[in-house]
Amino acid sequence: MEQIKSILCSVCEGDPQRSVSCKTCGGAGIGIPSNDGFLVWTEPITFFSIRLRKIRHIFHILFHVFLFTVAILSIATFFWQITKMGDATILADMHLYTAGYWYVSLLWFGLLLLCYCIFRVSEFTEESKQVPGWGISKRQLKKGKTVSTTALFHIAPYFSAHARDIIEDAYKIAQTMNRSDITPITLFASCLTSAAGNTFMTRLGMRFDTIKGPLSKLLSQGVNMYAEPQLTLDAKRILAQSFVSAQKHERQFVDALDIFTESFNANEPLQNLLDQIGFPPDHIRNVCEWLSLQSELRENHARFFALATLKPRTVMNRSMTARQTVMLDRYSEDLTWAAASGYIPPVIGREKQIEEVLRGIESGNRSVALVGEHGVGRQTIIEGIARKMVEEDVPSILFDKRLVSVSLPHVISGGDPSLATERFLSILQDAEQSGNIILVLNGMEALTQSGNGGTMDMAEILSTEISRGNILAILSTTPSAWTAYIEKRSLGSKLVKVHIPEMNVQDVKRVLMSKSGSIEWKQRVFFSYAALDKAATLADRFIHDTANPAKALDVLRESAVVARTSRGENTFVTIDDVAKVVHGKTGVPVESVTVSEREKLLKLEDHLHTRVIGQDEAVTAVSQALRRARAELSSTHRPLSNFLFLGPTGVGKTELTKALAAEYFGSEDAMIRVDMSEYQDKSSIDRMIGAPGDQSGGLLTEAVRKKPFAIVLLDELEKAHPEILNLFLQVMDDGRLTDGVGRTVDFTNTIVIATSNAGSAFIQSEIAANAPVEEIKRGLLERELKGIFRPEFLNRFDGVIVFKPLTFEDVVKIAKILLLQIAKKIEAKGMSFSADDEAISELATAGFDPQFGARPLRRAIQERVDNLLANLLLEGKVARKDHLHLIAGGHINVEKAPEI
Amino acid sequence: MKSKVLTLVRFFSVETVGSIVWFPFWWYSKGVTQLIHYFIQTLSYRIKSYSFAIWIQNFFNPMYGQQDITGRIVSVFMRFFVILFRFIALCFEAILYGIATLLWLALPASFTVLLITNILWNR
Repeated sequence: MEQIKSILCSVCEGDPQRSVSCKTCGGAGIGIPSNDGFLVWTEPITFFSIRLRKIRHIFHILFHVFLFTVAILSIATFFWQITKMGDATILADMHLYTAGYWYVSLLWFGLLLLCYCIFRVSEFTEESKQVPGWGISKRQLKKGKTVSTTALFHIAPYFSAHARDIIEDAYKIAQTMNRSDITPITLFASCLTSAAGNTFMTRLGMRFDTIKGPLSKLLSQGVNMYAEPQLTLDAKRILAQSFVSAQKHERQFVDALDIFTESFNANEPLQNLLDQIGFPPDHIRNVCEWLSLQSELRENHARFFALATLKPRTVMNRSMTARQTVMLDRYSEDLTWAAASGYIPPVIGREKQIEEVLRGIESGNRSVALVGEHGVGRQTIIEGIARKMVEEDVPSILFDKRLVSVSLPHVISGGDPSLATERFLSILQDAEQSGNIILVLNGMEALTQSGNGGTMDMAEILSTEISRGNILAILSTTPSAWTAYIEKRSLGSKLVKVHIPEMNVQDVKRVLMSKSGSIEWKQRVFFSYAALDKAATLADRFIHDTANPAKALDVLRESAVVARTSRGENTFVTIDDVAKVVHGKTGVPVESVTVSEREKLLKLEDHLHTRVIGQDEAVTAVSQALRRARAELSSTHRPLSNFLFLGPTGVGKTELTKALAAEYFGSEDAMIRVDMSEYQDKSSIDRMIGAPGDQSGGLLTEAVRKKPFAIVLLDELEKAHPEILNLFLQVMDDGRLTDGVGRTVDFTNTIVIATSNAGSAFIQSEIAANAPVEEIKRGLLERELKGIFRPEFLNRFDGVIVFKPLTFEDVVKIAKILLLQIAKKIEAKGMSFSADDEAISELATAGFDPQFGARPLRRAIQERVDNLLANLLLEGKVARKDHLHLIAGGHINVEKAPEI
Repeated sequence: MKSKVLTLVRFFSVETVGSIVWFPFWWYSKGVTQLIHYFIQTLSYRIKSYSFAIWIQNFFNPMYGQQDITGRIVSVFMRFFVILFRFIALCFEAILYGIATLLWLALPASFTVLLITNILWNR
């Protein structure tokens, strides 16, 4: 935050007693040097001065009404007398007016009094003076007279009535709290209780009750002498800074917003207090900017419409050299007319690009191509130019011209190439002959043969017309279409390319601030700053199909609808409404963590262990990764986590991934499983990310595009071709992958888990030799995996987790889990199932093989339990409510249910 | 207390009685300046809306895109008369403002003279 330097008076040094009679500072004690002079607040704020201002105000109103009434009555008396005489012709007799009649004297007196009224109203009703430099362009300002910067400049008269009310209310607050000083905090508190403060709190989403207590505490700190309150040096400095702020923002008067912003910026305890109750300083400053922007837009609106009255609303220009454009009118929309009629809102944050376009046109009467992704605001920039053309704030080549947007889909509709070409030629002819037309062609690729998917090619016609200087046009397209259809053609070489980048989040917030009013009006809801901020940040982070600011605006619009439909009109759009919309669009849970979810996250290990036996390190690692992600502590430019699970087959690598998907991501379907054994040759890259130009995309990229919040399981990683593994370097490092058609697919909300059997024999032998896990891991990374994966690839993983071979005890536990699953199936048929410990142990013994993990156990259970159960069910030996009990020796006892 | 009384006295003397003294000075200095400034602003807006500069720049450019010789001749005449009539309208408006300014200057003085004459001639 830029700090304006204040200076203490060198004579009285700001001492309250000495400064009263100090002639150097005029009693201010402190001030700010500026081009207008030394800015000082010298007006005393006392009970008497506050009363006097109020009395003065009321006195002037009453006095003016009195004067006006007397004047009118005097004049009316004259005419009443004339009417009484019954002869109106007397009025024509000049002698009457100087003949000395009392009622004629009243007429002259009344008229003189009216003149006096004009003088009084003009001189005594305007309470504030305009801030110097207001309404003057910077160029004019430079030419203006220079003022001695050492002369005192009294700022009090430049404060609006509203701002003065705030200062006086600060006095009352100090008095109520028995304070003898009016500090910047008192000024801030006073601002909050004003109408502007009310708007501010509404936008911030803050209730006065929330801040009342802490603010009172802050106010009660410091001097308390039960004397009459007076402005402290800090408060006077704030008022001088407010004047500078008003001048900087080109405001007519110093307003409440200036005092509010300056008193907040200058006070750290106040910033800490608001931060503590959930309103960080940058939120407060952005809300101030929002309110400032709205008042700026209101002022600009009036100025724009004053200028718009000069712009013709017909096809004819002001010099009347144009002619009718029948064909063009049929296929186009006049943007200058739309702007002049108020249908085009002001443009925010694209001033640089508009200047670039105008510079391109001015550089040699050249046509311009705007190249940017969908949603970056190409059309908005064109509309901004239309507004500038209405104001005639454009280079001379665009002066007194119309900006006309041709609808290319309508031109080429019908599919008849000769008809479309004829229409296009007529349009160009109209524009050329009229001479006051600047054409706008959005989606210019439709002009080319391959771009419109047909046989017609109008790009060459346009290129010829442009090179002959007959046509001036602003065209727009996407970067991919520019490269594919335009760049290498003659049309591409004739155009000045202006790249339109995606907006940054701060600019997006400003756009949302400027557009929020119209959305609020349409949907009958209100936005808080938090909702705007959330819409901008979440859209930027989670939505990648369209660009900013369009995607953030979409989120904001939909959030307004969600708020209205769920809670009715005149409600506030909350951050949860915004999060709900983003969740719906992307599938990523971005809402605040609920109590039940918090419980689930904290006990994730326990839940996972119901399916995965042992492997504590792996379970803890994935659980922690998820907790970090939900607490928003993970990096926003990488996947949530990248893991490499190493270990022999059947030890639970894939099972843990499935369990995680089911437990946290909702279902096992939330897992994107890629069998890397299917990608053994280099050409299979196309299958994974899509062949160049193939709109259907690749298997992996499309799956992640559709389901961005998921687990990506790369099974049997060691079997994939090394070139394919290189693709994952980018995924694991930057969290994105570009598919065959150039779309960037976001992996930042995925957990990438790769499994591999590589080094299984080594793991098993080391485990058998009781080697510690860390040593096994080191051995794997330094020796065993070296020939299989490149070191930089292994380095990208957040964790390389070694899955230990299963022990007999583990297999017993797994057997219990599998039998539990069988019991559930039996229960669904109306029976019950159990197994005694000996039977379980027998199954575990049969299924235990350290080389193959839990897989033989599954086979053993299938053969010894499932087959028996199937026979019993098919033979009809069991009925509903019967109990089936597995005993040692591979037998199942059927306990019949008691007969009813 | 003394300073408060002084302030009150100053307020009433300056803003009531004092304003009566200040009135004629204001009327013939700041008041008339403000009025003339307003008239100048209105006239410059009118000049812009009449587009004199644009019409003079395009004096020989044919109107309505009529590029043939007849169209060009008619256009030159048309432009000449439009500029002339607009100029006359502008002059007329400027004269009205001039009269209004003279009235502004004359009114309070005339009213005062007539009032005094009437009072002195009182029957």
